[in-house]
Amino acid sequence: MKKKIMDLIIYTLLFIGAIIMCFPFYYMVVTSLKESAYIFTVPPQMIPKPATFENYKTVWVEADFKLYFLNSLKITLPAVLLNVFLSSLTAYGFARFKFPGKELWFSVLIATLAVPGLLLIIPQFDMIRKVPFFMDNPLTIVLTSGIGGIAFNAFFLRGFFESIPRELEEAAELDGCGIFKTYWHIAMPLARPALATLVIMSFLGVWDDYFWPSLILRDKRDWTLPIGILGFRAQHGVQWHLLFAGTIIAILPVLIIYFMFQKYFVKAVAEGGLKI
Amino acid sequence: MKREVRRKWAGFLFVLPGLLSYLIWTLYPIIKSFLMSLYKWNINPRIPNEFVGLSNYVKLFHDDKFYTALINTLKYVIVTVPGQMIIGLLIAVLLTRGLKGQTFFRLLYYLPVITSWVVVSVLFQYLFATRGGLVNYLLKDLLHLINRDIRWLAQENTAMIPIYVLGIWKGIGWSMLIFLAGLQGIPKQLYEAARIDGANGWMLLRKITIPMLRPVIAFQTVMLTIGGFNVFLSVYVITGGGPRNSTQVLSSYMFKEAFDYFHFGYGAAIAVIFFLIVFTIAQIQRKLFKREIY
Repeated sequence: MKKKIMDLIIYTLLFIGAIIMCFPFYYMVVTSLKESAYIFTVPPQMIPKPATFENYKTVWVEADFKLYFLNSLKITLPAVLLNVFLSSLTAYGFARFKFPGKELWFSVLIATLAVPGLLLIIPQFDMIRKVPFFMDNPLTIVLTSGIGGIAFNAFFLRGFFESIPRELEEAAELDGCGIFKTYWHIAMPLARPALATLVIMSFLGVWDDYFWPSLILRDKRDWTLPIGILGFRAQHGVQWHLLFAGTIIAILPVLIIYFMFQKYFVKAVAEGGLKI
Repeated sequence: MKREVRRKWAGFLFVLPGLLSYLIWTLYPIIKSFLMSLYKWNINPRIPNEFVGLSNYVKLFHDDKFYTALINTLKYVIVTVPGQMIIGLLIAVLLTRGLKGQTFFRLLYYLPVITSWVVVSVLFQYLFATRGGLVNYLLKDLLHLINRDIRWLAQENTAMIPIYVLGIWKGIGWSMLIFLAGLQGIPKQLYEAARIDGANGWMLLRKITIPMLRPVIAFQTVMLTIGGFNVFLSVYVITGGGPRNSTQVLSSYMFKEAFDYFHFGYGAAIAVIFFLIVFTIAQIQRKLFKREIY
């Protein structure tokens, strides 16, 4: 009996907590379905009446969110591929080969992990603006986002490659498989869980990045979703119903990926967190 | 023998692209930051920059806005780091009692962590709006705790509050997840033995759970402190540093100097001091938690 009451109390607490954590999202969805006359009513409507999808259509077509969405996609996908490919090459090199200065290089890589990205942004911007080709060019974001975080990723993946038994790769090499082929056809498929985690982390990082792209992509036609959201807010003030239709479009891909791969997520955070 | 040599070169080639881009895009900018802080940087890249020695730093130490930003950043860390960890631990403990639906709750609590800072910051600006904002509605019309709408973002003494609340709300899930992993590592027998000795729930928490979680607590303190110092987008989006620079934090102040006024040298000086502070605090924390294993 006592245990049952205890369980009930815990469930109640967990539910209240879950409501606090999720209510802002619910309210965002509700607001995005309201007509403009209903966004500042007191008491606020908790269920939109009348509910309308018109806001989504408006931001998608008239407010250029379709363009921002495609821009975000065009930058994020190649950047993530580049990032994961480069990180895996680096990690594999450190995990499987001996070359002069190896451990020294690796410790240099690790030493800068704690340096805040903010420290780098002024000199990085100064480097980019000296080459006109790189300013206002989405390719710049693909390349720079693609090589960001290599230090952490290489650190993360090296351990994983080292935990794969060597015999498979050695057997492949004895069969005449070249070094690069061994990496690509034997080691990479075995590292799939770790690579999946990396893809997700990298995707979130690039998709949500605001600071850096906003400095480089000044032309409205190149804007990504985060820049578009703040740009829309600057222009249209507090048209919250439209703004939130835009933000929901922006977080939808992230949510889908999160719910699909949440197992990888939890593992990555819990293990990565405790290992560092 | 030939194979050895070939593998040496192969290894070098594997790490070369990654290392090279890292040298150009991380290591060089770090050094460049220090150098830039010694110059008066010109907006026009074609005009040579003027070497001014340490005068950017001298100016910085006499800059009231810099001190405001520093104090705001420290306050943010002091409020949000324990806030996230205490609530995170509480939820983690409740979740490990073996009730059904653990995965479901974990999924929900983690949702704010994965959502972009830009989106949640805009959302919190709306929740804390003076007229028609949900928070004022809750406090005034529903709970009758206040009798006039609070102008959260327009007053100097309340404008940081939404930023604190957002910082805690967004970070709880991460803290919870790390604590959950830590809690799984505590042997069940410890609790059983203590229960036989007559310990109650509170005593179990204080005498077993928290001491056993020390390494996790140490790790979280260091990580969340570094994260807290980096607070930027919430301030930039919700208050823009205002009213009258009262909510400026180190990163937003640096951004403003560097990219609104193009004071690159001064911005770099802020970044360097910022880095030294974070580095020092991280080192002190590491020393304090020396006994713990990372």
